[in-house]
Amino acid sequence: MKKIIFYLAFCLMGTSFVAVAGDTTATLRGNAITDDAYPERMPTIENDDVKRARNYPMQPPTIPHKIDNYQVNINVNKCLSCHSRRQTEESQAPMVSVTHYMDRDGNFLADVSPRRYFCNQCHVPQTTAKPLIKNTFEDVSASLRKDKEKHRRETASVRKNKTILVGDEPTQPLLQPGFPDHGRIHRRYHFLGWI
Amino acid sequence: MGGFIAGIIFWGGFNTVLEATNTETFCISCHEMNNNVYQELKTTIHYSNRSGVRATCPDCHVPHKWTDKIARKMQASKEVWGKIFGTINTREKFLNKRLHLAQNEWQRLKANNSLECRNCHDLEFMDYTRQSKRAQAAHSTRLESGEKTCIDCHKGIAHELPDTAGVEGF
Repeated sequence: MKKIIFYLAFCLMGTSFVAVAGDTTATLRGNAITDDAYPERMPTIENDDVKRARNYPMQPPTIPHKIDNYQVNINVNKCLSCHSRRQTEESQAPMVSVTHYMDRDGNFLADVSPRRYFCNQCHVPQTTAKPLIKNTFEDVSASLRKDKEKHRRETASVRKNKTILVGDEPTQPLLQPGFPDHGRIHRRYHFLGWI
Repeated sequence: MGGFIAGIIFWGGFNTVLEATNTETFCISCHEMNNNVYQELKTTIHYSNRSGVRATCPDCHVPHKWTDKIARKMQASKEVWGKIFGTINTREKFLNKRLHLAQNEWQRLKANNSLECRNCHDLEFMDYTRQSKRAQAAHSTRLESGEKTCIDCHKGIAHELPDTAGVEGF
């Protein structure tokens, strides 16, 4: 019994520490934990049918229209009533990617594979809501551009140094000749395989 | 004179009863309607929306014109039979019948050019500029030309869909 009380007390202490340490969440909540927050206005769904860029090549494209009350269950898949292979001629909607017609061994099926059936597992509509925290994500092209920029700066400074240090070559070259630094980029983006 | 008064009483009574059966309260007094289709309607835009205008069961399922209405009411005698003998008195029985029931309604709306939809949604007064691009494209072409009618594309707008394998448009 004593042991249990001791453990309970220990757990309680633990939670109070977490509460103190978790103060930063208050900035997201926008009010004291004891107060009821006034709810934000519900953001609206973007419904303009304009395709958005993908942040990386394998990103499931986001849905550029409303999907309110779209039924996707054992009986019917409302999304496929426009996006399936059969329906695209009439709907002029983009066909779901061919990978969705493949089973896990890469065999092609007559219809969408059951493992790809629930569209919303990967594809979601977007709202007009402003992000609560600034997102510092940059896509692979921006990252590569930055690398290129950095390399140019570095080689420029090496050349500059060289003119000063004539006849005093460093025993090891500062940078391997040739651009871009494929080795480094490959290490960073090796998950993209095909680059 | 007596016959005249009896006529008024009979006709008045008939009409009152007819109107009473034409209300949502009457429809959902049966658990078959209340527990299945009515609960599904509640999640849709025809029940709850920004302007508070809503459709009740008879708005979509009973014709407004008197002759059509009487014809539909006569058909409904089969539904009374179904109620008495419990054709869909459990969820399972209802789900098994669902495709058949849905097809009845789809056929009816297809045959009357979606009349019950058009009682409220009149193509004449649709402002395409206030519709989304996709809606505009579909309404200004295939709906306007009469090639398609509302129910061709808007199946399942107010209730859940049955298994649609083999149904055109899915």
